[in-house]
Amino acid sequence: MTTETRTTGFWGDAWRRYRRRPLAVAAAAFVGGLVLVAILSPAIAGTKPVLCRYKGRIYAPCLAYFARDLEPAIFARDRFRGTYPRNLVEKDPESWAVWPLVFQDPYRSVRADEWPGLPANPARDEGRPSRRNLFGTDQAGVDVFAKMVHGTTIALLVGFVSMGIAGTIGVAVGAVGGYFGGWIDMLTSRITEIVMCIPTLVLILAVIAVIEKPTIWHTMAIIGATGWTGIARLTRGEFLRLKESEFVLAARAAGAGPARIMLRHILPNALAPVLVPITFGIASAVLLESSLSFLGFGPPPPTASWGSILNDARSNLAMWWLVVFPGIAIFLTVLAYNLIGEALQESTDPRLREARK
Amino acid sequence: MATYLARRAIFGVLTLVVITCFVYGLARNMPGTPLTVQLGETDPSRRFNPEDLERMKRIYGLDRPWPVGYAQWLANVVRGDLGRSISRKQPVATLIAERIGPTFLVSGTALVVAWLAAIPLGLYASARSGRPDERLSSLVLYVLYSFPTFVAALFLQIIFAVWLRGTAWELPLFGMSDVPPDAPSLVRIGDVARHMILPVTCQTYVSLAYDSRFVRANLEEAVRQDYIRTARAKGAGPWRVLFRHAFRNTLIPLVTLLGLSLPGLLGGSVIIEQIFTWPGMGRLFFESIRERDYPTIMGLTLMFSVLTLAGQLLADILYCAVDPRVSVE
Amino acid sequence: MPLLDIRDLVTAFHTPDGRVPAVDGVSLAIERGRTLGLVGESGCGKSVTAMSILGLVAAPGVIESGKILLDCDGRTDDLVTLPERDLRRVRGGRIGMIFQEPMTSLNPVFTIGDQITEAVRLHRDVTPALARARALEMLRLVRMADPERRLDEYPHQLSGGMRQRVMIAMALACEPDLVIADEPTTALDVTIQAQILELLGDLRRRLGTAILLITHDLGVVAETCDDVAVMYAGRIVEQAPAAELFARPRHPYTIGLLAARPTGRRSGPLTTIPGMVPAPRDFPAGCRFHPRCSFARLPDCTTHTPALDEIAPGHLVRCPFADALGPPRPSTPGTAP
Repeated sequence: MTTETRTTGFWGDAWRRYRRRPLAVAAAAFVGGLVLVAILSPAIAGTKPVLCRYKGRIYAPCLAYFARDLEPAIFARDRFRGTYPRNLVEKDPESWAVWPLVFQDPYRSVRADEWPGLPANPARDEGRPSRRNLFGTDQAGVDVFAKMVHGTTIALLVGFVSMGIAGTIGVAVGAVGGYFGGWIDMLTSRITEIVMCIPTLVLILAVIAVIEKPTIWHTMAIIGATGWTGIARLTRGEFLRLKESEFVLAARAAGAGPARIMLRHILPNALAPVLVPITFGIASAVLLESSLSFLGFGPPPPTASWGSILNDARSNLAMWWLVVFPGIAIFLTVLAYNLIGEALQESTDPRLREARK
Repeated sequence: MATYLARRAIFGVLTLVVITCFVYGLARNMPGTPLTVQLGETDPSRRFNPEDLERMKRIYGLDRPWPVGYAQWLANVVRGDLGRSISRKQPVATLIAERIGPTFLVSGTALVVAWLAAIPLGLYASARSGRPDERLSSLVLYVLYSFPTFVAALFLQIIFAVWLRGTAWELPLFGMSDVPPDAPSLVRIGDVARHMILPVTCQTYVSLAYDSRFVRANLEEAVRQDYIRTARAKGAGPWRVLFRHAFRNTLIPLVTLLGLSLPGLLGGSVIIEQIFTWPGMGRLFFESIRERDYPTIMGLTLMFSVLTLAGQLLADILYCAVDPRVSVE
Repeated sequence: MPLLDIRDLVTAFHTPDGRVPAVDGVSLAIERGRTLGLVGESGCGKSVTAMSILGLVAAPGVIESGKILLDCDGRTDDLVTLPERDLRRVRGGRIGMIFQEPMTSLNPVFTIGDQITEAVRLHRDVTPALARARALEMLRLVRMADPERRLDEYPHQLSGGMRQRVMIAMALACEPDLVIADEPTTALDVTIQAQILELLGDLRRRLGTAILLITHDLGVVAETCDDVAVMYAGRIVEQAPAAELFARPRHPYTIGLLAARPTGRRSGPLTTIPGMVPAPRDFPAGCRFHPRCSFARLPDCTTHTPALDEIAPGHLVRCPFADALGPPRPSTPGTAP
């Protein structure tokens, strides 16, 4: 027969339409770039060697930027006190090291001659952008570029972790309510409405104030725990619609249990529309975290977050570089997620697909 | 109608109880009490000795477990008493009354300006959809929509308060008024207006970008409907189709959005009021959390929640008013 | 001079996946006061033909070539080249349109009266009161029960059949020369369908309006149409007076359609046409019906597009085997080959 139809599958189709939007592709590439920066952050900016050979063995002290315990104990024993270049040479003339691209630390100001010939970082108004400090330095003389490179991890994690939590709660609540209906639906819908009524910022500020030592993970958890209502409503609608469809009836006739029907049959079909609010949710989570940090409710120092750099700027507005660089970084990230969300929406919208006919 | 309102009211009160109880529990479990935070900050040597502290706690009802405290608070609220602020030594109701005006001044102005501009912009964008001028304006609005308010606020502060300092364009950085309260009223109004420019700008541009995109998206949704085809087949011109047939239908989601903006209108924006030290509700809330001022936190939480619920009710009522298909039943 | 004369109309959609010719060289003529049925399965291009006549083809669609000539008291307008302003006067003024979906085709936020009055006032310079009187008159004409009250009701308060009556009233409000009815009864119950068709036929007789009836239902055509054109995959494959077509179908597709029609007279199983209607972007080369045709024998069928030949007066068929197919001239109708 010649009446074969070209079927590329739903996601293949969606990807084809997504690719036609240059801005959305650029946005996805930007997020990909951020992921790279986050993974490579200790190799981009830092004062610890990426790799070094010391007393006959090879170490990667830069991993300390991910978790403090990853710093090899030998350097603490040998009293390096975080200053590697001079100590390495003095304590083991045989040693060698691969250094990060930029010798600047996100947590402290670089002292004079810490790197042979490199002067100390300027502080306050003196710290405008220069060749040594690409984005300038903050009040205390800490390099803004290094802070921002290391803050990328937080900017990314906040989005993914909090929306991972929100997505899980939202899909679960929406699915259960939509699928079972009746009093269960009534209950889940009311809970959703109540959570919607709580002003998010109010709740987050209150919860953060309760926690003794709030970390960035707490912030993410709270953003996730409050940001699921939209996702739940959408999922509920999709499940209400899909539970009456033929393939679900067929699965039920074949004896599949509710859990199996919800996870294997309905969820994959409801995923595309649910993905859209999740993407927009990532954008608003990034925004929310940076505004919290900006208000001084961010991760405790010395952890670097883009929003907390902005907070530093408030005490001295003449240091415009403390506003411009992190501000633009936050803006571009939010913009990128919004663009991706919009492109997802339009490339998975069934109505727009039908318009092709 | 009456049963509908009654059901809404019962559910609303229930929601309020759940939310306030939750927030009260949280607030009472924050480390520190208003007594220790306040005094510890001002002067460590003036900390209360333990007996005084106990006496003060008894006075403010902080010595009992929080559920009891909550019940007491609730009983007072039912009698119309929001309590007294601990750190400000004033009734919470008075504090709210003082702050609600400035907040409304900024948010109300921003809301009106944003909607006045958003509706024509949305109509324009969907009428000229796809043309170069529309694409440019939509791109600008899209960029504005993603631009964080607090970043914009800092940019504006740097430009108008630092770089333009000493010129005619300089705008005040903080607060609501610099002139003494006994100055002529025209001078005072002008001064407040000057202080308002930056906060209003910040609050307007985001809503403007969001609202105009919202208007446009709904218009384009409406334009896809069958009844638009009918209108065109009748011989209606493009503007008539857009204004009369499509726009009239987008009013339905539009009024819903308007109703939902009620809490923001009186609740204010914590971030903007904080940046510009605008003496409004958002800033009051932020300060009361820092000062562990339970009565104020609770009063404001109650107010925000009531406003949110009222906004939803308002949205539903407006919805009935513009959509003949929906009746309150 | 026919009232409406469509010549070699080509309407294509330019999608990102390429050009899709939904209507590919259609020619049709409708005489004043007559009813032409345009028959075909969904997706064959019949609705696009209707939208092309009114110049309302949606965005990626373009009329690429052809003429749509509308006769108006000796003057002839080509609707393809007519400026938008003049075209607007044609829409609703000289050509009324009835759509398939009475549930969604009326604007939900305006009353019935508003919507009919608007149709009147767009084309006639009358006062609101007169326009309202005209709307009332139209509702009476379409035999709407309790018309005074209906004027102030909203579409959602009406049943599907009543809404379709409103659509008809709106289409006829300015006494057009031609009414295009695109599947006017498909969305309605069977009993309501009959009422609406009877109403349309009655109005045509009383007002002398020509009707272009678009449908997939041959039963509807048999009951209401003077002439029939059968469309397949963007092209007319057969055209004839209704009696002639039902008695002596010549195109394999028409023969298949008639055989697949359930009638009370025939005994034995229903036949079906093998295969599926091709999507516009996968139209086969040559005769577009050849993959499903049980007679395609010549290699020509897969390479050359057959011409639309007049094999008897007023009977056009796009198939070289037309003479050999179908029942012989004096014959009993309905016997399948």
